[in-house]
Amino acid sequence: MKKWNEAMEDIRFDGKNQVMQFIDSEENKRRSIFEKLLTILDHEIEIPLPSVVAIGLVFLLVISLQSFSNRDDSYEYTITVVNQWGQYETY
Amino acid sequence: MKDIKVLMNELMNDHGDYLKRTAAVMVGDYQIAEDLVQETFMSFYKNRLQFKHQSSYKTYLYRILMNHIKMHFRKKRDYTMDPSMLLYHGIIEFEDRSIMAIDLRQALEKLKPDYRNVIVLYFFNEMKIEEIASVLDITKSGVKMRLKRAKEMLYDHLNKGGKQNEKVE
Repeated sequence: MKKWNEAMEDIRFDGKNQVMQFIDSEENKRRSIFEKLLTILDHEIEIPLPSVVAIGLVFLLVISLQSFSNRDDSYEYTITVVNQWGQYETY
Repeated sequence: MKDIKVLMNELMNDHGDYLKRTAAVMVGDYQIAEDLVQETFMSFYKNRLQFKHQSSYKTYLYRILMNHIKMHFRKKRDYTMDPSMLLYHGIIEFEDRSIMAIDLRQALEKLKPDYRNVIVLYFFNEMKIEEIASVLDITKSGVKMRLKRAKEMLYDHLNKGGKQNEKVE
């Protein structure tokens, strides 16, 4: 099938200048600080979501364990009764 | 990482002509092909941060081009190839037979875009099955199936050509 490709050898891409002009205009546009930072880094900032979720869960677990272990369920209470002489007694 | 302008220049020098030829065969028109390739490079520039280097630049560019071609056919369904295009004269090898094709244009015009894509990428661009799968974002078995059907259709169309296309074996 070589001939197929060879038959079109005179077909050339002529739009290089237009593409470069487009890039120039895009590059000269005002960009946000974040976009500028991305351009400097030239790659996306990736947030490792599974790791973040795992760490968050561990923190949640630790905090909830701590709060449960420190809690004292016993509390003071009083009871008031009326004795045989009609007086109120508080214990 | 290279400066984006240097990279774009290199990519256009290395792949621009091939992309245009591929687009021309796919859409049948040189001017539309030129526009599609320009849009392909502009899209690459806009989405360059999403390129993860999991495939080659070539594969990524062809994938963008295929998407632009797909969008083009959503707007314009009919396909007629430029009369000056693709006057191929030679033998096309199929699995168990070969055929003399004088003009592939008519045969390609009759193929659906999905089949034309695989035929063009396989024969014209000489891509491997894995590469085509990556470009078209389908499985390898999907490519093989499409290629088999496309070849059968191409063979039928070429064979029906009568005077124009002469069977060799």
